[in-house]
Amino acid sequence: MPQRPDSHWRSPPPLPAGYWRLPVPLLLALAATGCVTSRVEETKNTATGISDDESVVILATSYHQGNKTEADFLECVNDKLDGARDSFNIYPGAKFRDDLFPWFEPRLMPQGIEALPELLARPGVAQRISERGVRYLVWVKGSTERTSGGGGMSCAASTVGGGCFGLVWWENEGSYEATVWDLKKGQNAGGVSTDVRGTSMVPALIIPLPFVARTQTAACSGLVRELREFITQEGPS
Amino acid sequence: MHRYFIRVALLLVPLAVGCDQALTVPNTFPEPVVEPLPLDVALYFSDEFTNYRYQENVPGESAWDIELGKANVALFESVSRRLFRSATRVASRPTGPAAAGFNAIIEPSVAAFEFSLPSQSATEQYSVWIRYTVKIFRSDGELLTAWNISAYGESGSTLLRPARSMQQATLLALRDAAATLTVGFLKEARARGILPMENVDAPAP
Repeated sequence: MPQRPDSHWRSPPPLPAGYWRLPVPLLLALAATGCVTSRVEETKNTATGISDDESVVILATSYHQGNKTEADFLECVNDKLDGARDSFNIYPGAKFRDDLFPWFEPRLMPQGIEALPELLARPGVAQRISERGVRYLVWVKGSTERTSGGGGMSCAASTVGGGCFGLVWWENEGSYEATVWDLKKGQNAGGVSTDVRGTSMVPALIIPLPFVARTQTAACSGLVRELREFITQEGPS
Repeated sequence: MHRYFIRVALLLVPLAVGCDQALTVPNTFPEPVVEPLPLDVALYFSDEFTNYRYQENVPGESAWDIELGKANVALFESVSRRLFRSATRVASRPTGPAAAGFNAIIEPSVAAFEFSLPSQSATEQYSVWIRYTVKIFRSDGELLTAWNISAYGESGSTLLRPARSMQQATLLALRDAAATLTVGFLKEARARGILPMENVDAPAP
């Protein structure tokens, strides 16, 4: 059996202490994320663009029309648009509704662009919108729903310990549309939509490990990315 | 929030749900953006209205205690300040010479309050329905109408914070009532002869 020539052997350089800790959060983050697929579409009717003294309002369409857009989804869209460095001004939706009360309450809000002239003709409405520099109204509708799921898990505990065994999985589908009204032109400028499907699972072999797909967050990110481009890119797509 | 986590959280919920849910509805409302109607009105709020409190013990769930009185008053005062040429709150329903300066005397009451929880509706929504009866008297004391206003509000469930969701749904129902009051009063006033048919342009949709 050949012997390793000891004289030529060199041990590898020592790794820094705690090196093994570096990939652990990364691996855990990867492991804790389920599978998400998304699709984004855009339809543009007119040229857009926005100046520094103009702003955008994001509102959910009425629940009287069956819309179930989650409050935290709207908050996510507002925050992501408002927080981006290269983004435009966002006028808070709640403040806008108060400023124009009651014309943007769920019962009275305009249901289509054809209702806009009548709304703007009401005493004080056009003036208030103009004073606030609101150029675009973005109407968001849609929601994230659970579409399927299954599996099972059982857990037991005793004085010497406990654990779980099984597999639970589910699939969520988020479908959102954002329609953009250009108040300066009085036109429907178009819109963007996103469909996101996320599969999550929790396998358990003594310890349950959740792999959760962040479907709603992915839908929010996709919609915001498209909306930003839609409004800032001046020419029709 | 996904249902798996909701289920996990539901295991913890008994710790919180065993408690009663008490809430006070915020009492600030925006003034409506309308042209005032050429009316001087008196607003009379009964003690029952100003101290309105809805209590319900939902079997298998929490007991709810919703304080609505201050919000009731704020809603009608806020809308009236802008909807009418003048609105004066009075301690009792004026009669005789004291009523002569008013075109109408308005006395609202809560006819019904209902809610539904996510567990009852099999949705993730808290829903609230309120029905107000708005009595409108002429200055000579004659009852012109008892106008029913139905209002609705809903809010998505907030994990482990059911009172906050109920509060939001109730607030939206109150704003819905304010919207109906704002846009519907002119029609009601014309139908009851408080305003002539051609007096002002309609602020209503």
